[in-house]
Amino acid sequence: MSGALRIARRELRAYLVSPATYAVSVAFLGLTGITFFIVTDGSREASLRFWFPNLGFVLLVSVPIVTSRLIADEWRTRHLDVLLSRPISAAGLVVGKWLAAVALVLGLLAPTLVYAGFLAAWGRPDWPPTVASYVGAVLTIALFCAVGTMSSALTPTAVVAGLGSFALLVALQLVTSIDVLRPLSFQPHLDDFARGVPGLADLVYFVSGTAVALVVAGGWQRLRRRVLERGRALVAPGLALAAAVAVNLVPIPAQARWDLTAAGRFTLSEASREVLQHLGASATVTAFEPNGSPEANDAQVLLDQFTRADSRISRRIVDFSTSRGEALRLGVRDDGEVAVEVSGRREVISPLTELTLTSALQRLARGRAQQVCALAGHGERELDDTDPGGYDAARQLIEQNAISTARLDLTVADRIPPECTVLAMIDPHSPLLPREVQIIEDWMAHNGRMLVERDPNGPNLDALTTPWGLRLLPGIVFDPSRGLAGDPTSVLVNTFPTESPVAKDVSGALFVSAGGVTTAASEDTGLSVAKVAQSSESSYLHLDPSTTRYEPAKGDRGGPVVLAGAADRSMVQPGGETRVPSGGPSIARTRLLVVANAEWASNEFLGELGNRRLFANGVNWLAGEEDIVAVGGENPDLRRLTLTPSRRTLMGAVSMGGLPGVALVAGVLVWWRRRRR
Amino acid sequence: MLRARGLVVRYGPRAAVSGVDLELREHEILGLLGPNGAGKSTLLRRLAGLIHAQAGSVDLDGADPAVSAAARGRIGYLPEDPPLYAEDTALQYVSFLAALSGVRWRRRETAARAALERTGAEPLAGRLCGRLSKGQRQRVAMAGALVHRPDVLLLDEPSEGLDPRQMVSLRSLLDELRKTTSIVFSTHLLAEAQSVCDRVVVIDQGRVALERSLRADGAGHRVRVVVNGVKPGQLNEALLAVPGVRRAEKGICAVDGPAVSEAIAAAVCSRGWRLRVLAPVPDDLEAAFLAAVTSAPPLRGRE
Repeated sequence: MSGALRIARRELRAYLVSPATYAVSVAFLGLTGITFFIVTDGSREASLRFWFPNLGFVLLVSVPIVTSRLIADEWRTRHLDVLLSRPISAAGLVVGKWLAAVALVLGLLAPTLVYAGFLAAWGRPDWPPTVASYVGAVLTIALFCAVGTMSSALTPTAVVAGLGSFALLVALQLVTSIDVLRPLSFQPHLDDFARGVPGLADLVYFVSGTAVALVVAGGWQRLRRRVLERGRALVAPGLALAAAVAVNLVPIPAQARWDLTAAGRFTLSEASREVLQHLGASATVTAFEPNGSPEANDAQVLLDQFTRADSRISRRIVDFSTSRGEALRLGVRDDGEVAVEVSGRREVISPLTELTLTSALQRLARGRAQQVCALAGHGERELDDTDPGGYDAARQLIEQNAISTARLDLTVADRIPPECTVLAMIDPHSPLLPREVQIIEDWMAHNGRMLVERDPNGPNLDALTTPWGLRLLPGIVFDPSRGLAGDPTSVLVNTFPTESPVAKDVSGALFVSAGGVTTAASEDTGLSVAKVAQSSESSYLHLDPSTTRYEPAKGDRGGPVVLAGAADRSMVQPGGETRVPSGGPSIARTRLLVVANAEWASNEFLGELGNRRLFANGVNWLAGEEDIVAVGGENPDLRRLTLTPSRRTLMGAVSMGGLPGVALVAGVLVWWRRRRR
Repeated sequence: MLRARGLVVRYGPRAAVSGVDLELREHEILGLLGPNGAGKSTLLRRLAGLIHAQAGSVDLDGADPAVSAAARGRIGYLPEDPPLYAEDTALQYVSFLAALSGVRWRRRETAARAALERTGAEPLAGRLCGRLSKGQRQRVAMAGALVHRPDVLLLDEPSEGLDPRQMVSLRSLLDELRKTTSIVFSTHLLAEAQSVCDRVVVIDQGRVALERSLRADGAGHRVRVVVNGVKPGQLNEALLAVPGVRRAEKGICAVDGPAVSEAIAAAVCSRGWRLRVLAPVPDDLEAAFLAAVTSAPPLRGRE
């Protein structure tokens, strides 16, 4: 390798004084800027994961231009003789030229860090995957430059060298769609880095590909100079090529992969693993995605997580356009849909995410369907209301937990349908009719499960809750020490006094204008009542809305104030549920969850702190699925980029105009300085 | 110093160099003469270690430049019609070659300027190579070849593109370099070879067709003998009997050295013959060249 660095330094200097370099820079930064703007404007996500796969295309076009003349021109002009008559080796020459090309293209990539700056300024990027993406880009550049250097070493004609490397790189991308050859394509490996889930296989691919290209380049130059007999000269490149192909086709254990995403997006959550543990049957997942598409690759990465976690799950990824009969049989109507089959039952889901797939598996594995029936008729909040105070987000969360939803108006219905497994009363504004109360009481008496959420000014619901040891109190909770942004009624809750499954994995929640709940002792021996969440010691339940002071004389209650309580009566009796498929005790359950607030789970506040988790836990506990369900945390993918119109304009101007413009000005300055020498 | 034995270099079925033996002595300037396509450039490239031969060996004090980087570091090679990097200044280019040859960073620029000065290219130091004339390029390339003070210089047509004044400068440069360096250079110009070289080797169709010393004391290696009243056959017989006479024909003898002339004079006088002429014969390189080179058409393809 002697002389490699000296060769690299001179070559880089030559690049930097060549107007052609600046023309390539303008094109490169223009293309990357356009793709960045389009992708980021479309996704509005503070992430570069959608942009990096596009970088592969830009590099595929620009690197052959950069590398085409590296050795071909030296060969054509016979300057190669001048270089090789010095004490340097052919390998040193090849590596030196390659290093220079890599350094130049990295120099072109460096301004794209400005893109990351935009994301950091206007969003909250997940940095480890972003760094991994850049590492992947560096490895891709190293590979592309090695292929370009190799092509340039094989011919004395720069145009042929450029076209050759371009054709080879295009071929390496196109083999993505051929299953057997897919490991030889750079695209899935670059995509893995872009997702933030690089693996050993990806590293092996880039390192071996780069090495084999450089060995072939050096070997060809040795062959050309007859340093060895032809047969012997071909041995090293041949062996390197064979070894590279072999190590990339041999499967590397998929566990040798690092999920760098903050939320472990590409690692199955404990919740999903629990679901799989209780699946109790084999499952087949058939994803319909276009062959070789990024979506198909994403589906494969995700489904591989499931198949590795549970060998009873088998997966297939098929192209809708070529498998219409299969799609018809499975009830699939287009690409992007996924058929999930468990024990002869089938469901089609879309989109394919860990959440939707886990939910479907859980749903199909259940002995019976679960349904939350939301009561209506008294001004309750609606499950399909997308306004800030509505419960549309909560409905989606419920359905993600494999529980369907329905609306039930007992002012007109005379009974609670048998499909309803959980009743939800969310913030009624007027008292229930006696007939309704009676229907609900009867239903609860027969192992019913109900969620009651009521804001402080709501009607009296004592008739429904007190039989189960819970009672909603008048007044609003003030907590001066835990008020959000100085508002003592927006209470940050960090106290979950019991080991209730409802509060499992919840470290904090936000309640807004909440009331209080008392937990009363009950003579019912099978009944247990738990405080789910309570405010701090310094809080109080305030009755007089005209002041904010704590006034015990006027009936204010000192903290802590219980904000949510759960009642559970479980009895062993015939006709109940069995937990174990093979049998076990038959348990009949009645459950009531009372929350002295409805705002906390509204569209506006569900995403705050641990509200999503708390709500999902509550619904699942009521449905009796608390031992197998925990899906319902934050959406890990959600890293929003806040793009106001002015920011959008700035981002477009800098990425598509500013950076290429700087390259253009630099090129003009270089030309101006050298024109008189 | 630099020795080649039985070199054979083939391009496909054709032998560009075929069984060449060559030796370069210390502080010697050896001229390689030959028609186009004779194999001169191929031979120089092999001597520089740029290509390998199918047979034979090259060694520079025991090391083959084709496999020994250290040996290549002792050689300065100037190809025919030397290519330069158009985007480099002359100083940058020569400094780069100095770096490749292992000249230390601190000495690099000094060495490059000194080399440019020796070849008369110092005023071009700041000029871009891409804007130099052919003669200027040749001088810059020459500076690149000797920037690392090599022990052996291999010059392929170094006077190509030089004007007469520059050719005189080149001759004096080679004369100066001879003190520290051994030089092989190929040329088409016989007069140039005669004026510069100590020895010439004529290459034709890849073979050594003639090897001749051109040193001042070597000019008397042929002597003309004229004796009155003696038949040519008798004279030849008498001359061949003199130690040191290798050939004799029509009164012209090839002898081993100047001292043999005295022995010839003694031999003639001892026979009672009257010696009219005993004088060195001036070397006629052109005639020898033409005689050595066969009438076969020049080889096709690259040298």
